Amino acid sequence: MDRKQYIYLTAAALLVFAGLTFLGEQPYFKQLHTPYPFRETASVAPYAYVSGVSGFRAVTADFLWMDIVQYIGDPEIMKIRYPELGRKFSNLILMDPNFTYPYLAISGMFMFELKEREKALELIKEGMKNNPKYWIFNMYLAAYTYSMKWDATKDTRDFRKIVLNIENAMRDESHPPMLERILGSLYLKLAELEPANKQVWETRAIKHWLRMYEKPTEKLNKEYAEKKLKEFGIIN
Amino acid sequence: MENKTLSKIMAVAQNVLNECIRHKILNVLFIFAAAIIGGSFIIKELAPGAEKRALIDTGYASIELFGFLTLLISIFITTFEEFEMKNIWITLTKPVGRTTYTLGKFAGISLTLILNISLMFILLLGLALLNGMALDINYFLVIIGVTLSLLVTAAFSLLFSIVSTNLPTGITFSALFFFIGHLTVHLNSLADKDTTAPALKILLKAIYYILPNLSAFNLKDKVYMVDGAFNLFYIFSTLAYGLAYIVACLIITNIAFSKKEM
Repeated sequence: MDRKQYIYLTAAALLVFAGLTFLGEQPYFKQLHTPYPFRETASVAPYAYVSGVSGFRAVTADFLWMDIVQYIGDPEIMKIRYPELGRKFSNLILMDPNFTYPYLAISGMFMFELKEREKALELIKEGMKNNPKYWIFNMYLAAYTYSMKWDATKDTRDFRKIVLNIENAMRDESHPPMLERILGSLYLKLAELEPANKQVWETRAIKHWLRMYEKPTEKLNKEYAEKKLKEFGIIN
Repeated sequence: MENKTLSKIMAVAQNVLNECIRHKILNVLFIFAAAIIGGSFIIKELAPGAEKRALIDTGYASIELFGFLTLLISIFITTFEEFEMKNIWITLTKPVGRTTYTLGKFAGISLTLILNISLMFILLLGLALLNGMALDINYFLVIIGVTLSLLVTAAFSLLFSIVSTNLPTGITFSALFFFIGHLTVHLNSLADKDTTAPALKILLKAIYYILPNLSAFNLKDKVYMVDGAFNLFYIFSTLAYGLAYIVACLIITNIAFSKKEM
C-alpha cells in the first residue's frame, strides 16, 4: 500500500482532532452549543425528544407550539382552565429558549384570562433571561406589574400605565392578536374610571377597533371589532 | 498529467450525476416541493403568531432530511448496482484508477446533492419571500451549514457503501452515524460532567473525536440565538473541520476500495 496515503490520513485525522479541540474551546462555540437538557425534556413526546437531540430543535419547538395552539383552542380544556398549559410551555422553552412569541402569548393568557398573575410575570422574566436583547419583554413586564399594582391601589394612574405599556408593546408587529382585544377593553375601563375623560377614551377605543376591523391580525379580531363597532353605532 | 487526472475525475463525476438523474433520484424534489408548499398552507393555520418562523424551520429541516435521503439513494443504489451487475469493471478496465474512481464518485454525489439542495432552497426562498419574510445573511449561512453537513455525511456513507457487504448494513450504518453525528456535542458535555464514570468518559470522548460532529454545522437551530450575523471565524473553522473530515473519510475509502476483492 502507498505509504503516502497513510501519511495523508494521519495528517487529516490530526487536523480533525485539532480542529474539534480548537472549536470546542472557542467561546462562540460554547455559547451556541449549550448542553442539551436530556433529563428535563424526558416528559416530551418521543418524537419531540428524538427530533430535539438529533439536530431539529427549532422545528420541534414549532411543532410543540402548534400542539399548544390546538390545546388552547379546545373548548373542553378551556372549561377546566388549561391544567397542562404550564408544562407544555416549559417543554417548548426547553427545546428552544429563543422562541419569543410563546412567552408573550402564554404569559398574556395567564395574566388576562386565567388571572394567574405571578405565573405570567415568571414567564416574562424567564423570556427576558433567555433573550436579554428582546426589548418587547420590558413592555409586557411593565404592563403586568402595573396591572398587579392597580389591583392593590385602584389608582387610575397605574391603570393608565398598563394602557401605555400595552400600546408600546403593540408597536412590535409580532404582538399576540389577543392583546388588541384587551387594549380595547382597557380603554373602556378607563372611560368608566375617569368620567371627565370618558369621550377621549371612548374615541380611542373606537379608533382602535376601526384599525382592528380594517387591518385584522386574525379573523377573531375582525369579528370582535365588528361587534364592538355595532354596539357603538359606528357600523350597521 | 494532473489535468488528465482531473478530467478523469470529472468524467466519473459526470457519469454518477447522469446515473442519478437516470434513476430519477431528483424526483425527491417533487416530494419536497409538494410537502413544503402544502405544508406552508397548513402551517399558517396551525402556528398563529409564528407562521414565518415555522415555515422556514420546516423548510430547513425538510432540506436536510430530503438531502440525506438523496445522498443515501444516490450512493447506495448506484454503488451496489455497479458491484452487483459488475458495471464497475467497465469503468476500471479503462485507464481509471481506483483513487480516481473514488474521488469521481464523491464529486458526482456532491454535485447531485448540491444541485438538489440549491433547487430546494430556491423554492423555500420563493415561499419565504411570498410570505413577506425579511431574509438576512444568516439564512444563507444556514444552508451552507446544511450542505457541509450533508457532504460530510456523503463522505462517510461512501465509505460504508464500499466496506459493507450488503445494502441494508450500509444504509443502517450511515443513518446511525448521521443520527449520532448530531449527538456528539451533547455526549461530550455528558463526558465533561464529574458524575460520569471514567470508563464511560473515555468512550464518550472517543465517540466525540472519531464520529463526525454534525452539530457544529447545524446553524438552523442557532439562527434565533445570535444577534446580527453568525461569527465568520466560526463558519470558516467549521468549514476547515468539515473538509478535513471529508479528506480523512475519502482516504480510508480509497484504502478500503484498493483492498476490496471484486
